[in-house]
Amino acid sequence: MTSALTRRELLAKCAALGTLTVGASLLLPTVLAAWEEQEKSLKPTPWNELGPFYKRKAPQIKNLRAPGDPGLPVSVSGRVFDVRGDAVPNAKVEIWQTNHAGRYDINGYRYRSTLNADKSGKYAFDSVVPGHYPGRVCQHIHYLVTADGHKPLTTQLYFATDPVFDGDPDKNFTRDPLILSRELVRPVTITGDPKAMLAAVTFEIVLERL
Amino acid sequence: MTLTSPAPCGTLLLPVAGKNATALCRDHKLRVFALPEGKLLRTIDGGSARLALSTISDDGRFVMVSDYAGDVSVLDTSTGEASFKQHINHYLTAAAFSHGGRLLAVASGAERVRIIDIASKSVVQELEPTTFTGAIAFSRDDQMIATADEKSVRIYDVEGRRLSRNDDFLMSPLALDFSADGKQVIAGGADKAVLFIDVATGKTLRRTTMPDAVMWTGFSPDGKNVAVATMHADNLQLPSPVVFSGIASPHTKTQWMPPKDVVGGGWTRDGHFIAAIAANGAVQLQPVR
Repeated sequence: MTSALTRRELLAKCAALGTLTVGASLLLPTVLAAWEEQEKSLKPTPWNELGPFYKRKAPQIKNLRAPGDPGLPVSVSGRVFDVRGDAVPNAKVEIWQTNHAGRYDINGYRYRSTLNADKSGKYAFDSVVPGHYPGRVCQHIHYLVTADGHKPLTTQLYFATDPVFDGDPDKNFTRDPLILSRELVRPVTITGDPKAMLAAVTFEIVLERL
Repeated sequence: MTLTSPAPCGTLLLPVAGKNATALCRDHKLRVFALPEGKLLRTIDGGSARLALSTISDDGRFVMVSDYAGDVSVLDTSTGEASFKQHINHYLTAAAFSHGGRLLAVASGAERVRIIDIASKSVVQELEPTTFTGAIAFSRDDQMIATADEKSVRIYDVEGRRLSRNDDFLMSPLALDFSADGKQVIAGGADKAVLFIDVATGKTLRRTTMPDAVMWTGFSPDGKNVAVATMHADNLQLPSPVVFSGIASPHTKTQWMPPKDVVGGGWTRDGHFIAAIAANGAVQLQPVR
């Protein structure tokens, strides 16, 4: 059986058992808060704007790609964490994107989903690599992530394989003025044979606490 | 009237009643033109960062420019001097001057909307937190402010107290304006409709469908007409109609289909609607209503 103690609970237990000694001039809660502050190990996922085509009440589906849909299939997965590296269970991950031709469905809900991360913060969906929306520079998938006790996050996932980057996203990610952080450009793993390729992308989300 | 610029203009800001129009040009310079002569008054270097958003005060005295690096400036168009400068964490997603020109409301990232007193350069009010703000508008008397976030229109008094809220949108509202009497707000977005919202209760009084997603809307200065600029949702680079309707007869609509290169437009104080059209390196101002 595994223990599910939080860091704070663990430190408090150590103090109670005498394996952690706190100086007389310090209060235990103060020490724990300072320790936790130092334990911050993850940077929040950079903000990126919502864009004009967010739509509420998207269906809870994991497969956005219908049989016969053109475009390169892609599996996107990741976990939702807080800045201390703890998983955020049951986060709501809303995603929306264009189809392979760069068109948003604003009349219906194609290529839109509301995902619920599991207890360990994991989420996943299958789609196609979005096309280039006219007027925007790069291929992207929009995210709106919400979870109790955390600041909502709007951001966008970009693909390192986007032809706009000319194979060098480190150097060329600023070709899209909306990409203010290189870390939103994610590596893409291609598997399968040339007639049945599949792309895979991992995108971890880090939320700030309220 | 034709405004001649040494560099192509991407956006032209027309004041409702002022004598100075400003153009954001592709060489990252801001150019100020005198109206109605169309004479180029001055050129202001906007720096190297790409501009994200700009807005002009009703009297044309101030123009606000913000870039993707997070720098925000309010410039006096008659002198070219910056009367306000600030660096923020994220670039602006929405901004509006109060009609009297004393206040500037700005939204960036997931930050709260801030209302800034331009003269004292101080934040006089912060509105409640939201995830994203895509549009801001002041009432004509500057006593109320409306914001559009990812799913709602919220209406506040200028002390920051929320008066009402409307959640009747499936897609984010992107455009807002108060009626002349301050009793209604019109709002629209990619739902392909505009809602007329009762300021006191937040309830939708009327819903009018539009041919495409709404990117801008505004009541005429006399409050009798409303203009709704749509965008071609499949391709923002293609033209999409501007729809005019009367408040007394909202179902009687007229449409104007612009040419491809519209770079600005809006109501003038005498009730005309002017479109700014880029052509051969210049900008033509054309009355369309």
